Amino acid sequence: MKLADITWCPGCSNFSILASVQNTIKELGIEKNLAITTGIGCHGKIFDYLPYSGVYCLHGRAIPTGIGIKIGNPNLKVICFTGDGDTYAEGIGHFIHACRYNIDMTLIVHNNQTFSLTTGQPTPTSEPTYKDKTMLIGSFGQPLNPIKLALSAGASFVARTYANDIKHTTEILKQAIKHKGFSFVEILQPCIIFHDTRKILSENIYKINTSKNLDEAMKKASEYNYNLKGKIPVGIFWQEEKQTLEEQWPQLKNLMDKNLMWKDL
Amino acid sequence: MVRVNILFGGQAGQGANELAETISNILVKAGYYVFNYRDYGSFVRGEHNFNILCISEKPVYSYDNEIDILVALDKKTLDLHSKKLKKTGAIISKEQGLKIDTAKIIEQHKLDKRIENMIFAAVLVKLLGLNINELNNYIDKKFRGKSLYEDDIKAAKIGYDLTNKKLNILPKSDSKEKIILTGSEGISISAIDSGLDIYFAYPMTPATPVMHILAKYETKKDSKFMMFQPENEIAVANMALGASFAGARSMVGTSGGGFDLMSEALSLQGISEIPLVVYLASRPGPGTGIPTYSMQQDINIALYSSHGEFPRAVIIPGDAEECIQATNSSFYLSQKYRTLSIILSDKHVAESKFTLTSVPKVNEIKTNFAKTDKNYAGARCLPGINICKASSYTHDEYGIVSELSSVNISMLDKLNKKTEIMNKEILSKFETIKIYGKNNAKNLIIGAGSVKGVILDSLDEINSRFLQIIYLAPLDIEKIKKEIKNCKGKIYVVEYNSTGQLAQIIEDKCRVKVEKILKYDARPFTPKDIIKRVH
Ligand SMILES: Cc1ncc(C[n+]2csc(CCOP(=O)(O)OP(=O)(O)O)c2C)c(N)n1
Repeated sequence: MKLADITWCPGCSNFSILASVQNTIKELGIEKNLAITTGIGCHGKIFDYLPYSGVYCLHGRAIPTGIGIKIGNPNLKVICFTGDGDTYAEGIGHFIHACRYNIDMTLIVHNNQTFSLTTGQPTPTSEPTYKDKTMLIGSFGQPLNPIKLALSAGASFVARTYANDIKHTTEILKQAIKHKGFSFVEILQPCIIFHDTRKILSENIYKINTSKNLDEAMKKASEYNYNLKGKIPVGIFWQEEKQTLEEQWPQLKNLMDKNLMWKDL
Repeated sequence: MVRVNILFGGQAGQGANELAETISNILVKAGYYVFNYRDYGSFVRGEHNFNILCISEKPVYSYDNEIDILVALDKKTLDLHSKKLKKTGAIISKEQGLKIDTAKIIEQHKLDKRIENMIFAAVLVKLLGLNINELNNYIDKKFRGKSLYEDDIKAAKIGYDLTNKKLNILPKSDSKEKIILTGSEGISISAIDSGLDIYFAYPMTPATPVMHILAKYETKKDSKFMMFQPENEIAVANMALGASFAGARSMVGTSGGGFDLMSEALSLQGISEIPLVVYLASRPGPGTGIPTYSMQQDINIALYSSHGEFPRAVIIPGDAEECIQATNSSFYLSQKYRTLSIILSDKHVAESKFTLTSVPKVNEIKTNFAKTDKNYAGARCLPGINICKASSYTHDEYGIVSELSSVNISMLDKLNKKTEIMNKEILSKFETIKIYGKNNAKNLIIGAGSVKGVILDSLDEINSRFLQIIYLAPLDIEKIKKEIKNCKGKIYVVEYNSTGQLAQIIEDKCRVKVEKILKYDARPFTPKDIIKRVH
């Protein structure tokens, strides 16, 4: 299969994410049983650069399509690649419910705090002072804190990394994919064209250890509110063992126990 | 042909619907044909609702507003419906006509309050001249082992002995036992038999009954089927596509509002060519409309929803039996051509009860799996076995994005080719239209879906042939034109909407002027309405 020529801007942090993802999948050896879904945006282009099965979904819908794939064949590993416009704006409802369902799947959000592909409009995690062509007087409203949202919606694995730290991102992605249940990894990334946060992010990130309880995790998550000020915690905020949706559904459990597809029943 | 109409009315929760069902079951067992219309509002308890049961010795698909027997579980039913009673008609109620003091009976015999409608049923069984054993057999089948069983048997006997009156209004039946099914039951049974693995839906009347029926299949021992109710219809459609991509046979169900929310995903279906069956049970609109009543305003969205150009089949069944066939064909087409199949129905088809002499057999549906997706119509590959990529972007034969003009052309050419091959198969092998009535009849009546029954029931009186459209897409223009050409009288199009959506399509595609017979009070036609309007 001939993959697409890469059309990200030279120097785009998506190259680093691509490298982390390739490392992770190779190291875990999950190529064969893998299906990916992607949203629409610069991040989504990763679909055409990876030689794996999957669906290049509609904007905002990579999560439900990914859940569908998992229900359609629970023996597949499913990874969803989305953007902050994609998941936090267009698809926010799906995000909350995915945390709640605890289906065994990994969600990666490439968060550059801007709609890059549509040339730089603000997203729900843009800092309040963000300005662009459509928001000449700034974008009002407080940024959403997706880490806190995921924690309160019941996600069983919640992490954040910095795109250009490939080693750390690979390490976290490996743990996320290995985690049994819904894992959410937000990758903070600069968009060197519309939201160049390289300096701020690289100077302010610091690594955390996984919290022992939810209160502590919430506190850690509250340390940074996406306003590009102060320290930015990265690492795994929270991880817990919970029954997955597939384990509780007799039909799906049966498919997993016997390693079958629906058509084989 | 004799038509006996019985109206059952009461407060929601009092059991008018159950009473109508009890009588229907007894009658089809005794060989009669029944049509059971259910009229209820968007409420759960307390408000008025009613059923009209039409009984005949011949197939019957509609009811009349001239009532032979009025069974009133409450006073409001008398107030609302007495004017529909024929001069010769009878009333069973607590207040007038054949008076039944259920409260007294219940107290005297220390019966459970909930068996009130069984007393009514027994009185009615007697009036109709049926044997009490037929009621007892039904109670036995339905309630043996349940807590009210003893009380039901007692109530039946007491009710039956309350009167010696018999109305000689029932014709003689052929004594061959029949089956009653709703359109929703037809859809559900057929979906399961067509190999449905996962049904995705978010509740919306009148599509919801299919969820309720399928839920029973899900909880059967060793069930090979599941149902999933996600957060909204957008998730429903996208999940169903994901599941279908992974190899599970998937179907979604909704009404107009939910269908609107799905329309972007249906466009994704078009470009990604992941098989999908959509059940669209439409209801009066726009907006939230009237949830529990019936209209046909969604013909256009079934045909033209969603951006871009891509193949689709739209089938519009007119009764429970046709629901079975339409669902089976939908699965066949969606699997074979990896396309979108839409089954369009409405509350009148979904929730009315139809009589069948037997349940039609459905065909087993096979899916061809292959290493790659290169051949669009036909084989498909599966993730986990091969590498397969489905894309919402314009893509090459491997599913990789491309903005080249040549790729855009070849992708659309291929989708159009698929439409062409699929339509050719449908038009040559499937029953795309049905024709009823005498060859030399004067007028031609055209209709689709839920108008079928009432037109059939009027046909003897209106000197017309009836052309029923089963496939809205592809529309069998040649066959329709031929019927139009042969018609010496007027051409009517009958439909439940205010603008004549089907009439417009017929006029545009067949280059003919038609007369519209429209009804848009959200209630069904009776044969009298049709007879009045055809000249
Ligand atoms: C329904 C719909 N609305 C809008 C768009 C246009 N659109 C394409 S990408 C995008 C935003 C992408 O932002 P994000 O998800 O943050 O991805 P990024 O480009 O930053 O990686 C939008 C609004 C679309 N494709 N579909």
